[in-house]
Amino acid sequence: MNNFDPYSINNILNYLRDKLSKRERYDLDREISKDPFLEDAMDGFAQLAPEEMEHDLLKLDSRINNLITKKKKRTLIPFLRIAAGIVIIVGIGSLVIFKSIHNITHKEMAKNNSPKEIIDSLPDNYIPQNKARAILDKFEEQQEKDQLAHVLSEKTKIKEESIIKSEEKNQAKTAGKMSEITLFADEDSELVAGLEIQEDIALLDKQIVTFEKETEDDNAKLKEPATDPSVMLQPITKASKLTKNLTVTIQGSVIDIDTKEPIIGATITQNEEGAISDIDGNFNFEIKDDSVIQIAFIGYKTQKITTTELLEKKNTIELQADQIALQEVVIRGVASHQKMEATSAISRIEPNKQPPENLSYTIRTKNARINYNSGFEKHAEPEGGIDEFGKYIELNSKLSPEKNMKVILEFYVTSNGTIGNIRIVKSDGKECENEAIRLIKEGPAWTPAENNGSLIRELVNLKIVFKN
Amino acid sequence: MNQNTQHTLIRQYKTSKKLEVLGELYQPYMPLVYGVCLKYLKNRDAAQDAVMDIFEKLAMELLKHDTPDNFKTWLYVVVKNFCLMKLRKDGSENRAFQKMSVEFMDNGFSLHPLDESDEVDFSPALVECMKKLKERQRKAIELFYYKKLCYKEIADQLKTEEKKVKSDIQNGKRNLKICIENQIIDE
Repeated sequence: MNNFDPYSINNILNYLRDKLSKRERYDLDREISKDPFLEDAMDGFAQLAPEEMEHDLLKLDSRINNLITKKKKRTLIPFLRIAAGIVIIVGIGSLVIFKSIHNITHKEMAKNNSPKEIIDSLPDNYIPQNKARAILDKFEEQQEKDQLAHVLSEKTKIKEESIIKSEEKNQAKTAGKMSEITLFADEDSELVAGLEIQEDIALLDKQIVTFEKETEDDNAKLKEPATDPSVMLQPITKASKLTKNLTVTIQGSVIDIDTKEPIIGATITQNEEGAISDIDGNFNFEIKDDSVIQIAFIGYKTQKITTTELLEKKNTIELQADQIALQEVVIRGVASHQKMEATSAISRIEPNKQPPENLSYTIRTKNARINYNSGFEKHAEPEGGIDEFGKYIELNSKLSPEKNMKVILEFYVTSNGTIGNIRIVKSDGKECENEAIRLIKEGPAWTPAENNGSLIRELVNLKIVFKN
Repeated sequence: MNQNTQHTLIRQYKTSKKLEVLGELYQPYMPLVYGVCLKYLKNRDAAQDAVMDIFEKLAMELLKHDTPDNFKTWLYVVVKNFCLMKLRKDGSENRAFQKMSVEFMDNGFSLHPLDESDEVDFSPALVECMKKLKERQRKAIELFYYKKLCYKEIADQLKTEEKKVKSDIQNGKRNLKICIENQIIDE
């Protein structure tokens, strides 16, 4: 069948259009007769015009391709989501942490340290130090102006960006200079998302600063994003760690929303991993990603919150008591099973009536075969065995047919060895039937079957072949 | 595509779970699958949807089962069962699907002696059995296997339809097989 491919769709279409050569057509017919799959398919194709077929197949091809690429995209999205979620957590986390630290440290810092001192106090290997100092020198020259400077460095594989803002605030208290250096360390993979967050935070900081400027409230200082670089370093290292390991441990507590009492034994789960609140309602919990955290306890409504919501709530989860009273439970016994409705196979096995394993048993020789279906311990047999019986048939047969003729008979061998109820199951003619019956009747005696120590009647299926 | 490539593709799919890999395996058979679906469902839209559903079904079934020895015959069984299930629409789909596909997978498809080679063998058993065939079946088989005529030509010569020829050949083949097997027992 040379190079002709009967499965090529072009060949099949040409077959339907009757455009194949005789030889090719035959090859395809051969394949159809050989392959039921192709045969069925051809039956189906016959329902359509070749043009319709071609159109449908093209349509199917594009549908399959769509499906494949769609699935591919779908699997990508969760990764992006997780990555973005982590970046958001890192961003918010660092903001929260540096704000709280700032609340404590800012006052003294602002009082005692000029930005120059702060930068000088940085370790020498801190890369942007020199750059920051250079910028600071500039600030000192033009103290009355607001400054925004970006310093980008791509050394040591880490992209660092420092945004330095300086602001004149309170002449009496300090040198009146606030500086803020924000640094972000981002892995290349998160560069895009990370940059967005940076921009957002920078924007936020700006807003806070302008707000403070307007109100000129002394207390506002406490919220000011101005901080010193050494303090800033902390959240940054934490942030980069987080993106690498994707875990952060949260300490929180679960309380009743009304009584504010701790709930003991509430389960906090995320992605099937979880923690249980202790006697004070407190828990330590490792957040692995941004998927929903579920907090559950019997008698309370289960709460599902995101990690960001958890942070907003300062890691305190308030559960609402479930108002629905438990309803009466009715337990019923089911007496019978509908076989049709059962989800598994049901069959009844009668004890002690299991059939013996090997029911069917056959012995054969060249021209005879005996089949038993009783499963008795010992079967009825012609004396001398099947081989002798075969020879007897061969020697005593009066038939000399032109071709092989066969007879299948069934009869009983009774417990005293007599033969009865001979019945023809199948035969190739009256003459061989009669000859077979004669041979059996005149032939060797039969030994009866035995089971459980006693002789027993057995049905025997015998096939005799008269050879030519 | 030979069986080895198919096996590698299936293995690749099992480890990577990538639909592109499965697509590579499935797409060559899509016309056939579509044809079978058309035959049973008798509706173009339903058949097209079935082709897509079967693809998704394959994506799951291949992960669950061992690699089938012969992907094509396995696929054929899957497709047929899918269509039958669709037509029947009752009963638990998956259970029956699995049951049936396992049953069929074990049997495989054994080649008919006539289809084993291009050369027609004239074993005495075959010749003997040919004589026992019905006239119509015998003629169709002779023309097809010995004279190498295609269905259409046979139909023209015997003044009947192509469909009839096809079924005569298939039935004749089945009868021949039974007959030959009986002879083998006898000898």
